[in-house]
Amino acid sequence: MKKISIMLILCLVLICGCNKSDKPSPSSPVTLTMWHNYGGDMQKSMDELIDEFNTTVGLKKGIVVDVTAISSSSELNTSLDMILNDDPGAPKMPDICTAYPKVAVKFQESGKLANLDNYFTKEELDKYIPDFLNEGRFNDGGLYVFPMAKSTEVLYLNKTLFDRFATETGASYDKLSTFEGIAELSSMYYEWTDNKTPDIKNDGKYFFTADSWFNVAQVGLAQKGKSLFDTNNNLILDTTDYKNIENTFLNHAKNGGIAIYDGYSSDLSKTGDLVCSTGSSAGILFYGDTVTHENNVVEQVEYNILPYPIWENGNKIAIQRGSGLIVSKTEAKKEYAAAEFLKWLTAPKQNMRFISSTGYLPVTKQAFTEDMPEHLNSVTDERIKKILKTVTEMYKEYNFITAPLFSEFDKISSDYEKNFKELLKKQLPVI
Amino acid sequence: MNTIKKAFNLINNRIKTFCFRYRKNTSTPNTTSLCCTADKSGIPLQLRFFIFFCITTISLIVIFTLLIVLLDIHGNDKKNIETYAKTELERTTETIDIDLDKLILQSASFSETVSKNIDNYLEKNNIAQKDFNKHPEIIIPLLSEQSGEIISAMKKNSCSGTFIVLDATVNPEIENASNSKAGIFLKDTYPNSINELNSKIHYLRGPASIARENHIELLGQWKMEFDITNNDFFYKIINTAKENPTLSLSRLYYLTDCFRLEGNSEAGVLLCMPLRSSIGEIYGICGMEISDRLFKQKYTPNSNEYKNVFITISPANNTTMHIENGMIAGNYFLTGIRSTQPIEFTNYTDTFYLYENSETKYVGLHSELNLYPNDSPYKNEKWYISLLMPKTIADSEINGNTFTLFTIVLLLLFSSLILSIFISKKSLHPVTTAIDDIKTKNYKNKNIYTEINDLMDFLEQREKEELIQKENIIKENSPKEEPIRNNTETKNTLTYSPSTLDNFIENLKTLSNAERKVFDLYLKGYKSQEIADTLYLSINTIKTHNRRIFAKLNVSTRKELMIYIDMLKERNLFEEAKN
Repeated sequence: MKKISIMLILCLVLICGCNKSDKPSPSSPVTLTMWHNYGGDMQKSMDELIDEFNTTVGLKKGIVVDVTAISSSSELNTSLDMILNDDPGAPKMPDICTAYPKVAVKFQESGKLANLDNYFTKEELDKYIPDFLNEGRFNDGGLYVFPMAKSTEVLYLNKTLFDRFATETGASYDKLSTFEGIAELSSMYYEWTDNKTPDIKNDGKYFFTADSWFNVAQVGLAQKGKSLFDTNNNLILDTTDYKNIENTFLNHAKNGGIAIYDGYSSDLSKTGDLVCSTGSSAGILFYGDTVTHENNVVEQVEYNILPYPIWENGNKIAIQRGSGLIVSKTEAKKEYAAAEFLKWLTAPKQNMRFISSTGYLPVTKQAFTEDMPEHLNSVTDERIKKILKTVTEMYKEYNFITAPLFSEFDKISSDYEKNFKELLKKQLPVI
Repeated sequence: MNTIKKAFNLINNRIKTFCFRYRKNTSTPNTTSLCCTADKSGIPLQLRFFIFFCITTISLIVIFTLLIVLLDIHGNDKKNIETYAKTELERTTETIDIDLDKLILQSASFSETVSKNIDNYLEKNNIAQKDFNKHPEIIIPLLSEQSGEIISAMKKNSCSGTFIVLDATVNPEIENASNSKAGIFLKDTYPNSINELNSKIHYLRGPASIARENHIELLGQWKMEFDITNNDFFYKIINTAKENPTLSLSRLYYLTDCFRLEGNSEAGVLLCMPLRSSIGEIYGICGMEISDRLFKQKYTPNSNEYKNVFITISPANNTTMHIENGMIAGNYFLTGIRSTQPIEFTNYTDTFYLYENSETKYVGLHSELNLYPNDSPYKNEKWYISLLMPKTIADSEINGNTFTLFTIVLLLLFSSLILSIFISKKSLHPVTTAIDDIKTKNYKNKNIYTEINDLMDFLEQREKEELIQKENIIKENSPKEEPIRNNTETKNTLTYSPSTLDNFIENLKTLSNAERKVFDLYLKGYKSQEIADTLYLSINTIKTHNRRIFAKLNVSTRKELMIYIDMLKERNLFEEAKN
């Protein structure tokens, strides 16, 4: 009788214990809110993946992912800043959000992020490319930004426009491999287009712009073995190497040909108002294969994706980009559910599906080294095929840097961007 | 209460069955057959125990069941879900009605303002209203003048997009120019979800120069003009407006089916309003978009209690809802249940309808959306708002967990019966053992019940007294006979006459074969356990034999038996006894 009583008590304890589980289940599901920046053409891929998760693994495990916002990184950052500063009208922090490490670090310092190390085993983390994981590790060694898809910066070239220009002027394609060459071509192109309408002065077209002038300077100095920051994380803008970078663009901006635009360079490319630009490899889907002129004539064009330009005598270095996914610190059940979703989303099969329709790079070793080279041949979108080919080559030849991590970095880089554009604007008319 | 009656009947039957089986199994005499003896002298103790435990546990279960019934927590959610569904549908219908009314009014106002602006622009440029689309050179500047208005409409309203589509193009010379319409489509990629103050406008359609003038980023899917090849609604609205020149704008709005505009990353419905000049010329259309995502964010039902419930609005006729052309709002695995075919509905319960097509089945209820007034040219186009859930889930919600509770009660009853049998048997076992011991006059075994130990001590003492008394009686009755044996060394000294011994030998003939085998082994000096081992019988069987042997030989105890055996040996009657 004693044994039976003990067994009954144990059963009761077990039943009571199970009710307080830290894991969701179909009978006790959790709904995770998510914000991401995979909009436009990428939204369909992401929507499909999330829907698939919700109706398969999520259904079995009692996890529902509910996307409540899709917007650009900068817009998400604005909202995240509102949350961080507890601004009036600030939205509720989502359970999962795409964010750059520079943004995430501020949340981590405020204790608002879950340390994902708690939900992944060493074996699970070993499947990911260490550099991509390390980008999301902060000062305390914890993993706060989980890699989902990575990118770098490349040079987008409207080959159709460039060929037209090169045929008439003899402009060399080789010059596109250095920033000095690009700056020089910018002046030539502006002059050439201006001369097309001799009756109208200063109506030349822009040749080049950068989506991130900050990255141009940051990577440029890295290529020369220098840093844009001192040991106290202050910008160093009075060095010869930096001045060389700055003056290269300022001098050629005087001749026209360098565009200063507050939006993405792909906007200008869509209307044929730009020949080339440096930008994230993930932006490929924003470049169509047409140019729409002001009279609504749509011209078929060809884009080439070139490796990130090098400053003369510099090393082959580019920046590693791509936001990751952060999980807000909340109840253990939700954190666990979020980690389960991340595991599924970044597994090679799902990861390859996403990158083959977006142009991002996969984050697991298997997908990056084994699946992607094979997968390249089966990609149907020529734009994505081109970008993956170029980026894969870059990963063989280039070294990559990541942006430094400190809470003021975001502000410093934004201020730099704004100030540098102001400097350039003084040299040329604004569009 | 029926459940309880059934349960009692079941228990009664089980008790009867149990008692019948028990009697059948224990019908051999001289064992602990309490059921058997019950026929002679009342209810057996084990049955009493069993009934006692049964009554206790069943009473507890009945109280538990009664509490569940009385407190209305027995799981029948039908009433709850009906109330919830009606209330939620009513609430959402009212909210959507109010929101749509606001959008309709704002769209009408937007249309009037833009139309007036176009009138003024044309007048300023000396262009007749009917000829506005014959001057492609004015289209971009004209649209540019409307950009402030369209941005303002976007910011003022809870919508995911605003648009103007003119019945004109900037270049009539290009291929498919007749289906290329100039206009502007602004998209809010952030609608309502995070913060309306922080909403971000993007440019889906329109001249890029206007976007740059207003610092609006182009979407990746940007195109300069609308291609209306597959959008019949454009001319439908324009023609209807032309056919009804006197009807006010607030009667000429039209809600399109949910569709994905070419290049748009998400589907949605367009609330369209004609752009009508002061003299009734139709310039095009304008209006607002409600995207699928915005609809979901705004109208997802309160699902704390019922997580699988979702709201749809969709075009409908008598018994068909075109859910594939409508929008869905709900959080729970929506993709898996989104239908791509029209859905028929029929009565299901007194409150709910069954909605089914070849793909799936839903249960819920609906009401007509008060979309078009009676004097609207579109008054025959019905839209239904419905609150649905997958049928399997609805069924379990409607039926509640009564079945589960009933099963649990039955299981409890069954297990309580089993437990009662087990406990009563376990509790009675020491008693039956003690009874057996008493019958074999073995008072030395210790029992777990103190009362029984006391009884054993008492019986042992009483037997000793009886033996002494018996001895005295024998002495008194045969004073002249020479004692056969007078063992003064033993405490229990007995004196037997030859006639007593003869009787004993005579009685030996009445022993059965089995009893004789046992007796023979006693003659050889075996003890009970040794006899059991030798004959491969249980000790209880030996005890049974003992009782019968004692009865037949007219002895009371084993000691007395052994005295007779010693006497047989002493008088060389051993062989006679053996034969």
